[in-house]
Amino acid sequence: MSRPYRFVLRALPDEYRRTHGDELVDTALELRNGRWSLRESAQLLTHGLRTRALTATGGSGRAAVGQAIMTTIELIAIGMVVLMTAWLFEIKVPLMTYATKQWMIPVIALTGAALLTRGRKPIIVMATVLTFAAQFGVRWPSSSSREFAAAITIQAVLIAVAGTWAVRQSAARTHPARSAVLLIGLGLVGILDSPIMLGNLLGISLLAGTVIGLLIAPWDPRLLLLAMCALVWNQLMMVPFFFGGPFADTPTWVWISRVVFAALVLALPTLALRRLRIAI
Amino acid sequence: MREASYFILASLTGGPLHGYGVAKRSEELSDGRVRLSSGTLYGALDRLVDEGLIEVANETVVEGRRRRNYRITDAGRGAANAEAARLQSASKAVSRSIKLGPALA
Repeated sequence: MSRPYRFVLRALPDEYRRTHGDELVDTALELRNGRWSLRESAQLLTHGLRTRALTATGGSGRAAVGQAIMTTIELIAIGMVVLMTAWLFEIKVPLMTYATKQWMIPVIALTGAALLTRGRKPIIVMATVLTFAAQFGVRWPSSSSREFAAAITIQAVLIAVAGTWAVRQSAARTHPARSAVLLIGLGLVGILDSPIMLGNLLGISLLAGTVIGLLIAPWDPRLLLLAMCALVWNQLMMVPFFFGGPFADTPTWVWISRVVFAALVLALPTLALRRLRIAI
Repeated sequence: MREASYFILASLTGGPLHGYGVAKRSEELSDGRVRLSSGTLYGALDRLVDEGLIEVANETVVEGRRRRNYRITDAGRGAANAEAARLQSASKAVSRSIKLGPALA
């Protein structure tokens, strides 16, 4: 009976959970005469998230909420700018229409990397310029499929490099408030975004990645991996189309490039984390 | 002061209790009105410890599980007394107003 409670306790900071997790589970079971209760689980989850936010923002609930709202606004604003710029580009350079929205998520992930490094503006600019350069600046001489494959491969390399760099930078941090705020911000963006993009794989991926993140991720560079997992998941969700459906005639090597994308985005920052001996 | 915090402080005036004991005692004192879930309970306990109104008296190990026993501090006792006086005063004022209601009209 304690298993569902132990699962939601993952929302607590690691140290707190190690010290007091058993006590909380015992009390939850005693209060409900040994039975599982949805209300208890929800309250434990809320307690865990609140404790995390308070720990990360120095004990002030108001500061945690305020920073989360500000981060959400920042992320939405950046996303909107990216989307509008993408549409502007599309007027001049006809491209696949679905490519426009697709840029919102990588840039949010890269912005996340920037926030993890305490809001260093140059990396935000670099990420935005490079991702646009990959998609719109590179004109591959052959077919649009080739161009697409090249673009997402370059995108993968850029995300992986920026992610690795961000992980290295964030390893020196002692106060992880920014990453806590980022996770809450991403959560809010995911929740706000999902009704608009319902049915869109990117929206679902981000939302699911965020929910998983809220349950398992402590406030450390692993958060960056979660954002990347959402991207990878989005790529892998496309794979079934290889066997049928609207994209069935897509060349095999385009699918291979998707897998390369997924592998690179996950592998390089993961290796960086391993090298820094941060448990994943 | 929140109602939950008030009854948690009141429950500890009789001596140290662990989390479950605090929840049950609070429920008794409030005639079943305050039913604390574990999340709310430990959130309130952590906050009251931070505010210096209660403290961890000791930790006991029951069947291999650690349990914290909480006790009220002097500051906590003072805060509970002040809140009780405030509620009593508010209650008296409202009662007086109800009694004088027709006269005021």
